[in-house]
Amino acid sequence: MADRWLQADPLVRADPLVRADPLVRAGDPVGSELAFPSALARGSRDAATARGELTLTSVSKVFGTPSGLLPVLDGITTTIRRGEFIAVIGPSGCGKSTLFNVLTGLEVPDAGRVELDGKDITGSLGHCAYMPQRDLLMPWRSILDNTVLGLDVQGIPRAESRRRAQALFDQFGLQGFETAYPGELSGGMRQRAALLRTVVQDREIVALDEPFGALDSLTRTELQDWLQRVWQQHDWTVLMITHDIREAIYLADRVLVLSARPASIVRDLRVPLRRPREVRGVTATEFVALEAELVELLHCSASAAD
Amino acid sequence: MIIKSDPLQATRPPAGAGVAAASGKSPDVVSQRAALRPVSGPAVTVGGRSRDGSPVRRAVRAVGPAALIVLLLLVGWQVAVMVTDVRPQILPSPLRVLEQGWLNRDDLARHGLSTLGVTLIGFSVSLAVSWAVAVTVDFVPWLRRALVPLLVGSQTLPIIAIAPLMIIWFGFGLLPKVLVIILTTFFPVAIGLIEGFASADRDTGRLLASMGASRWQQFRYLRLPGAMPRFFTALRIGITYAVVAAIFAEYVGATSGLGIYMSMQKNSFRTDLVLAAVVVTAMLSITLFALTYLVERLVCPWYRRGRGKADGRG
Amino acid sequence: MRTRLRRKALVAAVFVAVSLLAACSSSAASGSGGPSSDVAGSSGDSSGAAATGARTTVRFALDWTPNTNHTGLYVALQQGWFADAGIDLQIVPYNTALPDTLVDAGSAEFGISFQDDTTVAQASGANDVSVMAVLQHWATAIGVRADRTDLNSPKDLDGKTYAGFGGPTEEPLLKAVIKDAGGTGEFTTVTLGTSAYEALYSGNVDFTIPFLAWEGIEAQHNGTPMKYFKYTDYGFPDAYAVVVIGNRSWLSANPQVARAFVQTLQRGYQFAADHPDDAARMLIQANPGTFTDESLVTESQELLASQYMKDTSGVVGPQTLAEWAGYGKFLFDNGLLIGPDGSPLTAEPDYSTLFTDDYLSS
Repeated sequence: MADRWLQADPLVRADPLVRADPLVRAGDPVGSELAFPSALARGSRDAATARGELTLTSVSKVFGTPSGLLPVLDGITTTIRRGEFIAVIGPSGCGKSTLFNVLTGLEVPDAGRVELDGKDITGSLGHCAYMPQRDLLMPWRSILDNTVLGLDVQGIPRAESRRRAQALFDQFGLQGFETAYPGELSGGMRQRAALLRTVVQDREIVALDEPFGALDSLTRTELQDWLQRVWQQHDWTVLMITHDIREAIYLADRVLVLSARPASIVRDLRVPLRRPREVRGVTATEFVALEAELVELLHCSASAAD
Repeated sequence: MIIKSDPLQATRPPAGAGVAAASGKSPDVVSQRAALRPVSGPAVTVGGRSRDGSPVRRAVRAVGPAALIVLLLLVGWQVAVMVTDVRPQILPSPLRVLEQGWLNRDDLARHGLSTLGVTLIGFSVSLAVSWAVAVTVDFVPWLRRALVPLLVGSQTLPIIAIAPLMIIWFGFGLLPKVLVIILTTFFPVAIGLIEGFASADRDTGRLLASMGASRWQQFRYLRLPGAMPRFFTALRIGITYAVVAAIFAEYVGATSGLGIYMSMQKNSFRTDLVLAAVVVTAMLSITLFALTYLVERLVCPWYRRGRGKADGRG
Repeated sequence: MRTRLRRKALVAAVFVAVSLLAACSSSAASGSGGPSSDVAGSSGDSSGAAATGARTTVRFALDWTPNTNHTGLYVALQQGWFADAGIDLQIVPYNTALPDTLVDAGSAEFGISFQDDTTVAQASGANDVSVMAVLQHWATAIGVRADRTDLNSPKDLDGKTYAGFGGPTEEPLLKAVIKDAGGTGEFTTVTLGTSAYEALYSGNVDFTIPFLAWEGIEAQHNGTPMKYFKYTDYGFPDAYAVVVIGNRSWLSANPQVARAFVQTLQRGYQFAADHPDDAARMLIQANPGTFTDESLVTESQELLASQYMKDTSGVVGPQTLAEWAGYGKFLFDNGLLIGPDGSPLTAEPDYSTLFTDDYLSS
């Protein structure tokens, strides 16, 4: 049963790379009925409680540089509900990473606040699990020990943290590689390990900074597909910075488009496409329309920066 | 999906897929085997064994050329001595050095062990001091500006002049010898550690900060393990000085040791035994040097394993 | 193919370099390589050389920084006697190489040595010979701090700590003296070199071998007097504390210059023995800044002049077979004379070959 969807898809069957990946072999039953219960459950949860609701209110940040003051964020205001997948796109250098730093608590905004369920968490660490652009896996730790890094920092005993991480290894396609070292893994697998490290911390919010940016397009497509499936299973609240518009539309519930520096939210675009989204859906009319709109918005933002 | 039409796809060798096509085995079994093997591909090592030979062959290849040159020099030296008929008190031949060294092996062994003991004790203390200073400097950054000039200064002190003063100040027990060894070997290790700690990846530091890590956790999870390669490089540099430093320390006052032995044999006009002691000194140094590689392998198994493997593939 | 050829060339070059190096040092060792001892050029005849203005360079190796063992050398230098004899004296200052080694290798024509050092060196094949005695008797003795009431005889030194200098003959000598006094001769040796005296003064060791005419006086001046046990009081043979050695081959090749040099040197030492205060002054003048305590130099020279430098007829320099043989036998009996092949001598050497008075004035 697990492989039914996989074996049904002729494209998948033909692709040797996909088949070699243990992740794929494990056969996430995204296309099966099993996926829907979680989505339904999510919807009902939303209605019942407002738990895990992240609110940014007028977040602004100015940096002092030798050449003067540099405003980076200008009044960012938005609300993100639990379990939503938010993509953040914007011109280069507009302040996306700074926004993430404020979210995680690494930076304190000069104005505005960040609230979680009404509680002010501005500048406080530990609410957000952050995945940086580079996988930053420590070469001296095995893959398993790398994934428990966040739990180590929290002070959880190794036996327990290893158990928690190990439970996700299959799903992340890393089974068998627990004792391997990062140098022995491919780029795609390292990114998956980094993501495992991020989500195993069990924080309310997961912040991904261009998680697939460094990978080749084939691996990227593979991982986007996988991320969607895994996210649906686990019900994470995800904010993802990306430069890839298609990736944003494919994965996100909403796309926040930022202006050039100082960044503010130019557009909060809902992506109404039905889940689970298929890669083939990339060519569907709705998709193309959304893509065109975003391209236009970004183009304007970028030219506004000049 | 693009995969089918991409020609690159056909050439990329995921571990089991080609075998599957060729052997006609069921895709699940093949993929299972593939899953257990690193994706890096067939040409690169598995478990540290090189494709181009056993560890013995590799060791021979590493040491071979140097050994050959040394051998040629020795042969040249031997022939030169035999041809010019120079007296052994002026320049003994290699054979004479070996012969006399062997005849006096008991003395050489006794003095060599004494020097080795002093070296190990002194160098251990030196390492402890280096670590203490380096860790302190890492946690208290302004101390770096205060201490590093002192470190550099310690390296430049003329031990020849200081050593006799040590006796006046500290007597001639183990303490002045340990101090001499520390003065000679402390600097490279301390600097290597300080720079090693400081070379921790900034982004990883921020990642840890975002996880809520304390300064101590940053040190323990990032700065300390990240400094290991630099530490071992510095350790190797320091340890090559250590044996010579121990011998020097013996001039500060000792009852036995290769330094004493060499001095006595020089006073007895036994140039051959002086050179034999030099050979023993070199052997001690080389052994300790090689030992650092062994220790590194134990402490940092990842360092030699993960390097040179396929990167970014997949 | 090219790398193989280059490797062969490298090997050949290395081989040639090593051979040349050894050949150069060996030719120097044979003694014929002295800087200007060209026999054909000048017969070494002093009058001839002085007349033509040509001077022969002679290198003299010191065993230590300048001290009262070297007074005669500096007297002759200051008085211009070497120049008169047509000799250009070059003093090779002390580094860590023994003068015996330097003279043997031909890096110096003459040098300061000691009876035990040169006996051992010559037994092992060194090309040296003793041409003059500077001090006729032992000038060292076992020294302990005067306030050590527990040490009244060498036998009290059993189980104590000795600060040594790394010489091969020290321990056998001390053992013999201690045994003669009734002890077992078991003690601990710590090799300290020049720090030995400091260690004794500060009480870190129990005994060492100070030079009576230097450290002995110094200790008195510093307020840490010592008491001594002389070797000869315990049945030990006498020996020439300080001698002058020369390179045999050079001596045979340059007999005229050799005689001129040795006789000039002897004249200097004789003067020092007869006029110690003047000699001390010349020593100080020749080495400005070396002596911080000038009274030490004068007292030392006076002591040497009165007790050590002159033989029974008041002459400085002559040597006797009896004295060479006496201590020589001790060295032989204790296996301290190692032959050129590295093993101890089995047959007693001919002690008369160790020295010569031929170059002294008769």
